Amino acid sequence: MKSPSIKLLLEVIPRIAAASVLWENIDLLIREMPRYLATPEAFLTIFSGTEGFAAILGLATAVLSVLAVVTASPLLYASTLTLLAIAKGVAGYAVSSASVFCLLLLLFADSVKLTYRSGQRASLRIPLREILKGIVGLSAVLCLTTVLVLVASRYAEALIEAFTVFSSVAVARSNVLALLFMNPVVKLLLVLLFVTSLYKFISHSFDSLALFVFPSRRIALDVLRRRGDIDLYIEAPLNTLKGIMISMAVAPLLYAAMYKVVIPAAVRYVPELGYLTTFVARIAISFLLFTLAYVAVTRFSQGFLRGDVRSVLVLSLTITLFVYSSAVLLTLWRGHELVEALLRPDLEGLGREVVSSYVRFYALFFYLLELLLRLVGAAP
Amino acid sequence: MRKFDVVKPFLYLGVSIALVVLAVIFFVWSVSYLERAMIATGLLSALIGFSLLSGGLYALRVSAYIYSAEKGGEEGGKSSE
Repeated sequence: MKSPSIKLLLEVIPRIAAASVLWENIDLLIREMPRYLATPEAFLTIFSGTEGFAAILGLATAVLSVLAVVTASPLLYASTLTLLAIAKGVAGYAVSSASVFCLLLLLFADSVKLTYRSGQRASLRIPLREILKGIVGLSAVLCLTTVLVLVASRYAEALIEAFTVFSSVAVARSNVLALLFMNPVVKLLLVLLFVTSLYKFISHSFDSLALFVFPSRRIALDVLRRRGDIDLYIEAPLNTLKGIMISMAVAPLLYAAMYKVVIPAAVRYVPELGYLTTFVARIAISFLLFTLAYVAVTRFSQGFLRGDVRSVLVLSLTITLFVYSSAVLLTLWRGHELVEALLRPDLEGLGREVVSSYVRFYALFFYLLELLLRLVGAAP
Repeated sequence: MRKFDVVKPFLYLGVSIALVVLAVIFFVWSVSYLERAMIATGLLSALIGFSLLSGGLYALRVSAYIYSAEKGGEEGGKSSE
């Protein structure tokens, strides 16, 4: 009758620990609940006040902490702590050593519970050496993660500080930028992005380090056999934004080449294509080229990161050839010989055209954006 | 040759650690650039840092799997289960 008690302990101890850590919130719910239930109107007026957001967060954490204690789920517990840190506004409260220890306890119980069969204790023989190894390994993992997270939090702090400094420079220049950068939500988003990449980094490196410590041929061969399993990448966050930024620099180049060289040439031979120079066609083509540039840029950067030589080569050669042939055509039209045009294409002339069309391209682009906003009633 | 085989996985490990350290240096640089309001330079060095980090982690992963495939083989059936 010894083994059921261990199963019971695995269920009870984490719940007691979680309850003791989260007692303050549960207590709040117990005290306030009868009042809320008796007068629903008072319940609603709390949320409409100035403290509404904090009240909602407090109530949500209280409900979540009850759920966390009942289910003893590490995920619920961790999200409760996170919400609590936001609600209190002081990270130091939620991330006390007791709450971290409780999280460890929950994780331990959660994983042992799954594999423990009742009565296993009698047949289990763990040598002292293995136990020592386990303790050393666990403490090494704990120390490593703690140090890593501490260093990372210092880095995040420095990042936010730097962000504040450069946004104060940006504020002097533009009001829109100030609105964007001084926003606490943007800072929160930045930290969240940082934490997600840190999580990916930590989980990847522990995956690999665990294999160094406990080499297993079966797992290794299993993974090495499939290309998709071994090829896991850490992508930089905000990849989409980066792609849009770079394609904003590339798209006018294509636009200039298109409207200075390709379309005039096409119109010269096929006069019916003249409608491509109308205003609507220009807008459509500018959007098309922007999309094209975006796709090309993202494919290029992904291929570059993943060592996909062929796609990088094809894309860069295509763009280079496009620019080169446009310059050659431009030189030919200025009355130069074919050989001279091929050898010394007028890249500078093309560059001047590009510079002048940067302005026109974005005037067009933002004109259309404003038009769209007006169409849906978002702008006067 | 035999000696090189023993060292090989740790060579990859060294390369990956060097890459990760370089990535960290680039990240620190990126923050210091941002502090001096050099935004584009800061973002570019952050991007370089991410690429290096990705490469370093990939090398670490490959080296770990190759090491464990070789090492597990030497131990025979014990670690294959």
